[in-house]
Amino acid sequence: MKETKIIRAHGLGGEKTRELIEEIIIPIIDNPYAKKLDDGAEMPWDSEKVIFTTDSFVVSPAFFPKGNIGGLSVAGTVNDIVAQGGIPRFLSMTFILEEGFEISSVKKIVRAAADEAESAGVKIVCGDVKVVEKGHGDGIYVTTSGIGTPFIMTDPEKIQKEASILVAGTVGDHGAAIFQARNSILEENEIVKSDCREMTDVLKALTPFKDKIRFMRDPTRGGLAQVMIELARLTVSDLEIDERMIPLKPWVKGLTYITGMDPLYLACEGNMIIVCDRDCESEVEAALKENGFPESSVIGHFSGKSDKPSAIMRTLSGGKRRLTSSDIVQIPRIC
Amino acid sequence: MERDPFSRMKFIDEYADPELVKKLVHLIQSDLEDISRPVNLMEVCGTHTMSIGRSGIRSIVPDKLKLLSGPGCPVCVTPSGYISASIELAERKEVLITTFGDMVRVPNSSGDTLGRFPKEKVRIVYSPLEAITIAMENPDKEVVFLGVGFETTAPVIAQTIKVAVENKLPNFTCLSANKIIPPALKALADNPLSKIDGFILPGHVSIILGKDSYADLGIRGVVSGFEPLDILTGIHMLLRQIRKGIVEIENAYLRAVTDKGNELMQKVMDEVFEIVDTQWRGLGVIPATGLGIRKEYSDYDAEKKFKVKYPEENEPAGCRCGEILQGICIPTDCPLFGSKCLPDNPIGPCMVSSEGACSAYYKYERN
Repeated sequence: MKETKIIRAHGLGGEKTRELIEEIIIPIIDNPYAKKLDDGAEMPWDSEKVIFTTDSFVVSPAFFPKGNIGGLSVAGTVNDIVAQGGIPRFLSMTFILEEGFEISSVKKIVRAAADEAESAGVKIVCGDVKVVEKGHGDGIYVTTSGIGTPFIMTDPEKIQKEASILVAGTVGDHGAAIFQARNSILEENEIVKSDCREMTDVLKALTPFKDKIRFMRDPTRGGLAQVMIELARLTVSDLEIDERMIPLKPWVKGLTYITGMDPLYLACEGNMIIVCDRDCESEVEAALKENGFPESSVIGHFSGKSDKPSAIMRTLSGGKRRLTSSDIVQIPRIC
Repeated sequence: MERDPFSRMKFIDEYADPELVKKLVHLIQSDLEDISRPVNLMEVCGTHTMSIGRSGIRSIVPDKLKLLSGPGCPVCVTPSGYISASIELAERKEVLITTFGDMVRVPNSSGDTLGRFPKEKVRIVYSPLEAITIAMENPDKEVVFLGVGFETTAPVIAQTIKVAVENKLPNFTCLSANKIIPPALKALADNPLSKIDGFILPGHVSIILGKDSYADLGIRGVVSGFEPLDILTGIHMLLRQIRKGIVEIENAYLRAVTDKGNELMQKVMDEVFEIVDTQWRGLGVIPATGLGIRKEYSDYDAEKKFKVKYPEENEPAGCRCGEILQGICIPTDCPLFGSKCLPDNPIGPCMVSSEGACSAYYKYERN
């Protein structure tokens, strides 16, 4: 293929579209389902129920510290399935490309997607490519949908008083990395990176406690704070988390501190909030730590039903603060 | 080990040490036992407002102590007419506006903002000096910098104007709405409706001005830093004064603030700016609290160059920002707060910037 940039013809469904898909995308994705190039894929299935999810990705910039929109679009959908307690199996992947976008960038993005899929043990089995005129998009948008097999049956209605709230990693890394990519507040360094990663190992870690896991959610947009607020509402309970127990990378702590952002509201793309019964909290924390999530931490507990469900944070200084939904955009377009 | 440039950053946790916090709260409790009435203290810096909300200080001090948020957010007190005049300048074909980011969101009284212009037309800068570079790169445009801020930003803006003079830049001007804090505090304290017993004085402003600059105002105040322990120390020192009937200025931010302040910066500010009467959004005109550009620098004064007129504009009906900024009521007393007036749709000035009293309350103190 001779073009180095996306042209309108790549989206017209003819020879150029075929070239882009067959010569650029499929060799990287490389699995028998995708290679058939059919309008749909037929896969084996061995479970009565299926978990199905979809997500779109518009992050700007598409390349951010230690990651890009391709890996993010796979990790994002895989993690949504994991959060439902499911083992992710198959994904679809659709690209909306802007005329003029570099084909070398498309390759890097597809490569990151393929690597993330391999790590998660999922196959990208079908997809689509559309091209929009220059000025009608921001380089690249990606949509992924995925299906998975139910594995852990979570049920927030079974969250008991004193149930434990854990996070599987440091908070706010992705949001802070995107902020740094846009604003170059810090000198260039090797430390700043998005936490973007697929989280299937969480399922492995939680397998022995399958019957005591009540809820999981990956804290993307809105961050940890938004998940806490929704959990309080969902369970009609009060909950309290301790700021001292929330793991933060030093650079995230520093960057958010000097810029006035609140890391609790920044997106994570390789993290999981887990609610489990209190009697197994230390075992769950230890299992997460052993399975690749060394920063896992019990950050708080439920304190019982309430007429006015609140997510409270005990601050570093010992004060109490109610977490409230933030309608203020801290950073636009993070995922 | 990876080298994280922040791993040695200290004093975030240290200045929030819960054991020391407990000790100070205990001292504050016994101070208050000696005072027979409720006490109202006002902080006059947006960073204090945010820090108090974020650390939950209101939840650990007795209810008898009320912490009020004063006019410490420069964006919030910039009058609506100034926003309208900036928008009018931005409408001119030859003009490029340069500004600190939060100004772009601030609506004038009819809801119009600078945010509606394309990014190339209204450019956000982190330092006013970036505006000089933009002026050099765009010789066919008139680059106007929106000079908004207190003593913390005014010296840098003054220095920027001096750099423009040195470079004989013909296409750079500044539209000054800069303000100074000390006389505004006196005006607040002198207001017969005021219930303020003492001021938590702004740390950053005081780094520039020095502790002594408040000495002749006859107000009770303690210069404080921004961490929970700094603020609680300031409160304890103010309560001690109240208990003993003393009215004086003290310094609880010794690691940053001196008696005389940064004299170099004061000198630059004085060279370029002169004291004028100015309007504060929500408060009206307060005499001798504005910084106008001196005659000698009038070539760099956008007000003169473009014959700018600031329209008289009233705040929307029902908005109580004026009273909030004076400590007469708190944000949750306002009927618009949290219903019609929201951070993404601000009606009054205290909701427009993240450091405004209403915005901070919305984020941290909403029930």
